Amino acid sequence: MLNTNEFQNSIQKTKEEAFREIDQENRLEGLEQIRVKYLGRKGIITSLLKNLKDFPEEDRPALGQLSNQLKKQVEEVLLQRAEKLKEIQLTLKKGRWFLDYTLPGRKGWVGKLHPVTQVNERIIQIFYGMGFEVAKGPDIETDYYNFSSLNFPQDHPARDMQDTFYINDDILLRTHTSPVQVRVFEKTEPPVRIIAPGRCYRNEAINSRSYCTFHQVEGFYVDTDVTFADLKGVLTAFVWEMFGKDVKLRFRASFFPFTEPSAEVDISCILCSGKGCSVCKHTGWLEILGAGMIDPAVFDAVGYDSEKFTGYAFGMGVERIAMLKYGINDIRLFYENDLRFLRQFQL
Amino acid sequence: MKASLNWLKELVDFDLSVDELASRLTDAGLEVENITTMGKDLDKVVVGEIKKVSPHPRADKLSICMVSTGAEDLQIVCGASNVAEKIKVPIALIGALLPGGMNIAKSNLRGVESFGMICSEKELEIGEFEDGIMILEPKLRTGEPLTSALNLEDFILDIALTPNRPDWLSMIGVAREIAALCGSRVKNIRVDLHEAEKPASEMIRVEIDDQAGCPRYAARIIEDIKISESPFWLKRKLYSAGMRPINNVVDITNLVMLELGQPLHAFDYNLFQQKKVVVRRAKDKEKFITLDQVERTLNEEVLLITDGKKPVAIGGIMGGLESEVTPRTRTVLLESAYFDPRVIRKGRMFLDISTESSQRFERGADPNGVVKAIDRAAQLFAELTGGEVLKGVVDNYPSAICPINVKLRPQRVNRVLSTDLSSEQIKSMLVHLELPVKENQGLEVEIPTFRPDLTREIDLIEEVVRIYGYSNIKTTMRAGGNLVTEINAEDEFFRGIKQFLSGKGFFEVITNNLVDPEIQRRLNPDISPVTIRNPLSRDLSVLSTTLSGNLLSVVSYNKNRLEKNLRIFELGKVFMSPEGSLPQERYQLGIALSGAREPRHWEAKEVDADFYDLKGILEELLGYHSLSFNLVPSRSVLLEPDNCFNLRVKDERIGMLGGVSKGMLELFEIKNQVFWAELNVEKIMSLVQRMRTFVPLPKFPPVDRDVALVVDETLLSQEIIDEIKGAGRNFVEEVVLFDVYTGKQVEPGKKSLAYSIRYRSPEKTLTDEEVEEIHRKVILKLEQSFGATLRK
Ligand SMILES: [Zn+2]
Repeated sequence: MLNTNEFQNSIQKTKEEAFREIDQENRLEGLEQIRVKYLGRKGIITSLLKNLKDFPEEDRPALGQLSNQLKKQVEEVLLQRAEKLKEIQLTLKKGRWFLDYTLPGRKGWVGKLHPVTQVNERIIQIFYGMGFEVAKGPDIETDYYNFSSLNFPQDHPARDMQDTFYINDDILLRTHTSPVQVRVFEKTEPPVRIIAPGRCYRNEAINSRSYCTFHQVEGFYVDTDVTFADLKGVLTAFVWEMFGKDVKLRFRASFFPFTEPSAEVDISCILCSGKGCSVCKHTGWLEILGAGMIDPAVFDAVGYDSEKFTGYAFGMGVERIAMLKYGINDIRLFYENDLRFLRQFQL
Repeated sequence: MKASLNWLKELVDFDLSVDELASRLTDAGLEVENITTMGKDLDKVVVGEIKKVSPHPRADKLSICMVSTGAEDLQIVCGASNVAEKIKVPIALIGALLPGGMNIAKSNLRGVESFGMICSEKELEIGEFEDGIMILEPKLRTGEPLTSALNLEDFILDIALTPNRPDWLSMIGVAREIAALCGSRVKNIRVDLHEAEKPASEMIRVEIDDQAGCPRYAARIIEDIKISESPFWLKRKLYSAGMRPINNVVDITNLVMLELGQPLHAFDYNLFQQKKVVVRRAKDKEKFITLDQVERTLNEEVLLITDGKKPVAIGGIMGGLESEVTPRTRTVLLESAYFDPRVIRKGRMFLDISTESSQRFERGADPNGVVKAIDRAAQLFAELTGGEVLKGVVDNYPSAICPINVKLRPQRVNRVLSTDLSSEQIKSMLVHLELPVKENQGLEVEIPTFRPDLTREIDLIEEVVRIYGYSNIKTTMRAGGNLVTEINAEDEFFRGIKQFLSGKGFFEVITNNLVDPEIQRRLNPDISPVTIRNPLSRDLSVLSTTLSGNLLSVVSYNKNRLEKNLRIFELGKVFMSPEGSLPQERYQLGIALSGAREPRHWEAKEVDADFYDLKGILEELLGYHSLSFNLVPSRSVLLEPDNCFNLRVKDERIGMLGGVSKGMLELFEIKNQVFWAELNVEKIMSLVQRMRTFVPLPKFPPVDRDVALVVDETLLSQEIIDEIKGAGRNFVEEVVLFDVYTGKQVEPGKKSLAYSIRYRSPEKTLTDEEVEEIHRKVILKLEQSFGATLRK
């Protein structure tokens, strides 16, 4: 025997169940069965009404009203559903289209930007946000801009660090985008804060780790009070934006003719979180870029006062960053342009 | 460079594990790329002493040895010819597992029992000598495990060196760095030399013709030497550095070079025709056979060591075959010299060789380390070859190269590094690097000649930060600098193009612009490409003059991988080499289209894309920038003769469009039709008006009239449109072609074109009559000009 409260709950429950069943029914015969189940002589709602007499007299009118309402609502929904089903049947009979919403929509082709472009754009965006402007220079450079002005003396072993394609004794394919530094310094007084993206060339055997052409982003900042601490700051900010804030950086001493002190910058391995894996050769660190304070000899070459101004410079390989970011193990994939490769990338 | 941990420990005291050492060195600029272990533990291999050797009764080549291992005497059968009584040898006991996989067990050799094995270096994998058993130094204690007796367990650090540090090409240089990092000191290398009475100067004179190329040349004479195999400890050191032992004389010179960084050379003195050394430049085309048995043609860049008559070595680079030390050599002339780094580099670049010696000289050896090195070597000659060292060094050093002084301001250090180091702290770091410091209005550092890389204040600042540690520098995050950050207009324009095309379903590709000259010539026979003088290979020897070759290769590559539908573009540089001027480069946009017009769909039939698909893309791309173009029929080897057009905007040629010719498709092994466009995007950018002023909206309504014409099939639609615009004067605002028909309903050779013309006046609302009159004039003009008839 139900009490008043339970009776009210049971009306609510019956309503929900009936509505759901009706909504899911796709045949008119099925609807008739549902009608009998709820409203027939032995139907659920009919029985509820019969039970009313067992409740205290003062509750009966309210409960009665609820039950009658339920009965009406169910009748109404049954009717609506029946009409809808009849309409669909009519449509089908007339041979009109039934909306199969699982068929694919009409679409055009979708293309994507090359992953090198995507990563390059991202790098530019990050540095643009820090106040760097973009400058560009030619791929075909002179010895002066590519080497001499950057403190690579003639007949010095430092030249062996970058295997160079020569067009003649004086003209070559740039081995880095650092020449843009000198080109900008010649035209601008400090403060200058620039990134120079672009294609570079190295006369190195082609294999999974090196290719004869690649993309680099060089960055530099010259002002009256730029310090090594600022260099660490800007590169830390870059790495965090590119790879996430839990990535650690390591600066270690190195040598580039156009910076001093010079540093190689490593990041904690993003694939194994620094625990050691095959990609980081079990060191936990990945080499990501080279950097340093601009050598006074470069300032002297362009007529900047190297006593008054200090500056930093850094350079990174775009393919290298993309390889680290996506775990790509062969640089040649970027230049093969296999669509199955190109389809995969969206920053 | 390979550095043995055991060897380093002989030179400097430090208390670091090999991993800690590697990490400290790496941070300081000696990047340890790899650590390998040398000498696996030789379990159950001990030092033994052969007490008695007797012949095997049934085998001539075998001997029966009684060997003491300290604890017991063992009978061991041995097949080596160099067994002897009272020598110490390595014994593999029963149960030992040798590195090569051999398991030592009790055996029976032709009736005689053997309880172990006497081993060769090769069998223990600690050396390469396999002719006979290894003979140990008598001082080793019998019974001691061989691993500890020979100090076999070692780690080899493989260090990637930067070209600015010649001193790191020596064990002493690396040790010096470790000392500085650990606050310790390098141990002095012992040189105590017993010289004979006879002076070396009686035997040899040194003349330097080219003082700039050879500022110093020192020589010693060692007589009565006996060439033999080097002792194990020496060979071991050479192995650890990745060098092969040869004989005691050569090994000593190599050892001292590895130890002190000073290359030495030993000549057979008796092969000198005169008692003198003459250092001079080679003559142009002079010939000389080096000890690698190659006859080399020299030029004036090359320094020669001669005996006054004939050359005996290429100075600082390689010795000569004919003056080489041989097993018959009895008297050695030992050379220790300082050569100018640039001269050595030029010479070895000309000869296209690089040797251990040239590597050190071209980076810069220590002119004042010459005598120490020759003395050290002479001492080892006395000890290991039994030779007599004649008295004195014959040292020609006309003008001494002196240490320089470099000033260092502590406040400058702190300004560049953003540190707060005191003068004292800085001084202490430099002193630990063996850089003597005086206080003199700031610091004044005397730079030893073994550090040619230090010439300026900034060089010393780098030394400070290396020792202080890069990780101890602050990380400052601040903006600073200029607030004006301009967007690069070209980048922005190119970005727009790339985004438009990828939105239109084109994949961006990036290709190698080093290409095959043969293919380049076929694609673009009229333009000479920029040629690389030293290419990787012939097929990568010119810079591309058109993007078409690479994009057709990408089409072909992907078609071979069952990609039927190719929509690709590249926005990249092309390069030209106009005669008599510098190579030029510019950005171009190449677009290739092949395959279906639309992705396969259940509703529509698959239709191949054609000329109008690509033309439409270009119309949209340029139309976005309010540019419209004309096509002018043209000719090109790349495109089909009747499907090849120049694109012109405002009378400027900006590119080409068309269908790729059969011949080109064959060249790239493509079976399907490909449509191609290549545009000069730099020119397009220059034609775009970036800041357009707003045009007021029209005040009066337009009137649209349609007209359908039948004209000759060969008449171009553009001619009709131009005529409509001309006839309708200012009232024609827009002409849209909306139907083209050829077929049964028009006569052969004719086509029907239908246009919708929009008329509007800027001054008033046109009445029906006015429009009718203009429209009639237009039609009349079309009838007159083209013989067009109206189609009902
Ligand atoms: Zn890892």
